[in-house]
Amino acid sequence: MLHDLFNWFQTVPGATDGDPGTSWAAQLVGSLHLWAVLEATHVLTLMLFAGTIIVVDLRMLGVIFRTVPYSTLNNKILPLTVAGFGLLILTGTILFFAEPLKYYHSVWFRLKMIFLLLAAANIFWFHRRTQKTIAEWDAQESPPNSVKLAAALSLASWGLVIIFGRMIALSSFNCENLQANPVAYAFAECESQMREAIEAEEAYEEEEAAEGEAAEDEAVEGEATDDSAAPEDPPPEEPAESAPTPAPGDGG
Amino acid sequence: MDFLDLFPGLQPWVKSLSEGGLITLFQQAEWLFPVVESFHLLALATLGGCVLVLNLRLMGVGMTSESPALIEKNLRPFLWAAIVVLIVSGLLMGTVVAQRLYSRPAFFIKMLSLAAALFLSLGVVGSVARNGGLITQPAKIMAGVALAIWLFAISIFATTYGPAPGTQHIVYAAWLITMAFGSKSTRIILGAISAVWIVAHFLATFIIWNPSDDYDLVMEIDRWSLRCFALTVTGFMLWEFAGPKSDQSVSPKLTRLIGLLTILVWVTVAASGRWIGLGGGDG
Repeated sequence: MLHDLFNWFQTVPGATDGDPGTSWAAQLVGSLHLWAVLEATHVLTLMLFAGTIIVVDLRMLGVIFRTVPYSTLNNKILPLTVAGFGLLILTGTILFFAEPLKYYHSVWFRLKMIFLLLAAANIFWFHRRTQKTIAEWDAQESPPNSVKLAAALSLASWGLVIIFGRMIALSSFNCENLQANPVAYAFAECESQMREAIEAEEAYEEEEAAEGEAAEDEAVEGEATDDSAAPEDPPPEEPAESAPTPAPGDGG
Repeated sequence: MDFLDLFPGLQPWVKSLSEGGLITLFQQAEWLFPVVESFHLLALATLGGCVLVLNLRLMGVGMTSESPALIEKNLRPFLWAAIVVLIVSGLLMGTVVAQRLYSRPAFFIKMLSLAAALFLSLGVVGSVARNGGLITQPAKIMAGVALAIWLFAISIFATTYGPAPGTQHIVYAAWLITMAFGSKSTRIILGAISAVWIVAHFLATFIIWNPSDDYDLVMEIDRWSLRCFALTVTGFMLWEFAGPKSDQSVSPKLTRLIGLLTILVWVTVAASGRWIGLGGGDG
């Protein structure tokens, strides 16, 4: 269901004459600089968001700023974290809708989202339960264990969100390379991704065949090339091909 | 400008780097590079937090209830740890892709701005913070050298085809700082100018002209529009943090400027680093 929705987002809105290569998503991926600026902004905002949350978490763990009340950091630093989070969500959402199917069927993206939700749940839980008692431990050099647990969970889950985020670009975990790994294949719902890819492959081969036999300009229906499509072959993904996807060794 | 232009004699050494055992290891284990880069990113985040919290305080905003000396003392171990992890992971990745970095202007820009950032963070800011905002003569000279290196680095950054769009991040960082900590009137005026700028830029480069028809023209509009916006933001930023109205009692003018410079220089290091792999360039 979600697969179909994201497939629609990737191919339909903005497309002229039903050509998926002209959709807004494809235009963003193929854009001059917009995609790159958004992606780099997403990465650089880690300095603002993750950087400040690390400082706050370390105070909650009683590692740094032990003589400074927690509320000082809560009031002066946490607003920066929130601003950074807003920027990450904004750029992240736009980047997701540039290639929604790629991310939806990415093992790493799914793991990232799981730990993002865990981190969010941890914040919610902390604010609901622990922060009510803030007056008791605000000035304590080493806050109670429940506060430390929340900080440790926060550090661990945001750290994993960053690591999994980087791993999304690892193409050896794309669906077409995952068939040997049934657990990951099922986890990323590769079934629906590959079905579409195989169909696209067939359509592409048909087009080739049709072009070859220029004299017989017939549109062939699906059955004719049913057996010729080998699932191992990478599908012809036109927009993704030109995408400036960061390959290993591209960052710094 | 890149290291290949400046030091063509290093070619054999760079080539030997990319033929070493390390690259074989990274080729055999495809996941190794992203793992090393993940640690690079985690350290980048830690560095960002330390640099922001300390230098915002030097700018007279953020944790103003605490002294710069206390903040510096608390963050120092994490700043150092972040820099060490960044350099070690950076050297690992850099050795693997040495040949590519050798001819990349973005890498040259990154190394220049990194030198300026290390001067500032390790040489100047620590001393300024420990001396309660007072700037010693050597610190003043070092800050001046760092400023000169940085200005040289961003002038190459802004004029090199390929990584040039990456300079936007520096402008946006300056914009965010000014909007977050500026006075109410600055927020309103700069906010209004920014809104007009975004709409005008969109109209000019997507509706009236567009990249697929008038590539050169759109690129030229992009460049000049960013330069004008950068000048506007710089004006507002300097007015806010070093202008006649800034409160000298929280932090002296020159100390504020050093804090601001340090943040922007580290943003330049990160931005040029990311743009090594973006924006095309010379392959």
